[in-house]
Amino acid sequence: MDEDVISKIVKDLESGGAAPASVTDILGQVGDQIERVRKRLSRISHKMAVMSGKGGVGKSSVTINLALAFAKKGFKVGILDADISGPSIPKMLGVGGRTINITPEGAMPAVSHLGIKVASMDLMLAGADTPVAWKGTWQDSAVWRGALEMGVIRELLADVVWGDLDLLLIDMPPASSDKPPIIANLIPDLDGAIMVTIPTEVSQYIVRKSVTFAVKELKIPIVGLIENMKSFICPECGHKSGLFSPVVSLVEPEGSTKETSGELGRTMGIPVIGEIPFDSRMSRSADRGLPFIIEFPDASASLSFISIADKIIDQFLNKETRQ
Amino acid sequence: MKFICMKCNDFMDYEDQEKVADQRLGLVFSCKKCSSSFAMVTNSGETQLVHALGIQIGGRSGPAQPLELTRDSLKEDVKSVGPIWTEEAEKRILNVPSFARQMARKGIEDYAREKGSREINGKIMDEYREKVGM
Ligand SMILES: Nc1ncnc2c1ncn2[C@@H]1O[C@H](COP(=O)(O)OP(=O)(O)OP(=O)(O)O)[C@@H](O)[C@H]1O
Ligand SMILES: [Mg+2]
Ligand SMILES: [Zn+2]
Repeated sequence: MDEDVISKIVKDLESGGAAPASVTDILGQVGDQIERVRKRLSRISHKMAVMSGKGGVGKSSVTINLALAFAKKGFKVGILDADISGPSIPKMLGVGGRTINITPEGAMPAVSHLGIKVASMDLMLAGADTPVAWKGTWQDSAVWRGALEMGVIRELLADVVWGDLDLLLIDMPPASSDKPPIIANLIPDLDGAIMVTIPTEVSQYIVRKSVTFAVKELKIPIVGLIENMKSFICPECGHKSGLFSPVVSLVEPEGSTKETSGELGRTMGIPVIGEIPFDSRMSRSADRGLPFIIEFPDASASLSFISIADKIIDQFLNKETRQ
Repeated sequence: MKFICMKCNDFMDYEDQEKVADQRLGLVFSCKKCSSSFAMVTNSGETQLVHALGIQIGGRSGPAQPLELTRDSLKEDVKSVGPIWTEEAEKRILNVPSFARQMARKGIEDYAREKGSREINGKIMDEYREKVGM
């Protein structure tokens, strides 16, 4: 095969001109996937991802209570549980036993307190305690699993009948890998990321790494930082004290070793939009599927969620989109 | 990816696919000019990776079905055949104490199925409540 012919064929391929459509038409299929997501999400005014650098800092708790705070203000809210291998949102919202039903329009989300719509891997599992298990022998391949989980999230975005929403909150999987920021790229017109942290230096260090990645590499705006379990309010006397007093740093943060997340926020130009005190009733609420903010609307943590919602509404959510 | 017939200097066409063995696909390409053809066999990893991306080898035969990738990929069957809950019904079931809610859901769904109803609405819930004396 002579070089002229090869270069002509390459040129044709690049221009898309003379090349016959490949039968598999990968680009066409990917284009369709993107278009389906775009179309479904075009009826959702705002989308925000809830992220954390570390697992177990209260990301899901913040997601549901914040979602309910918005709903209390009359917003139509949805939650996408993007934690595919460890979904927790449905149980926390009391819709754990619910099934996802497939209609010609798409899959119907579960509807929880205050009309919050929920889509999660959990709603597709055969039983309440069924672990997420995939067919095939490639379960252990991180590349394969990663690709599949992205595909599942794409389908949860595109195929769930979200209807008209003011706000979709996406509970990201823990960022031990750099998966969450990449997932964020799947979502067109993402308004930004809400970062959740707890006041230990390790957690802050990891948050800073994912913040840097999100901001610099993926150009996702940061809505703000929420400091969870910042303080402890004594249920007996109402006295407020710091929860994490001096901690031993496991990871040496670059530069200063003595940052509070307030300083972290300031140094990176990220606003701290609120702090949530520790309240021992929070995990009991989650276990019972009765969200904290519904059960204890006057608790200090609930008022914090409301005030954070107010700030986000003020700064990010166009009031005209409210119905 | 394109294949080129080296004799004719032209693109080859994708012709067919067949399952050679479990999770192995044979993809057949042929040249329309000289009608020579060859087959490419994928290994199970390649087949699955392409599947995981939601791409159907050989192109789609119809529009994508809701959650088809997820449902195809899960080991256990998806609970997708249950009746559809109206928003009113969804709200009402939240009033059932959480420890009993899962049972109540199942009871109502079973009842609806018995009645041949595809939808769980206020009426079905009333009937069910009457029946079990809740
Ligand atoms: N402010 C708080 N006060 C008391 N307990 C809290 C608070 N926030 C979260 N928790 C508890 O901490 C635990 C972890 O919270 P949660 O599941 O929301 O974290 P997560 O970041 O989503 O975790 P994962 O990484 O596993 O998804 C839960 O038991 C939750 O009830
Ligand atoms: Mg979580
Ligand atoms: Zn030929």
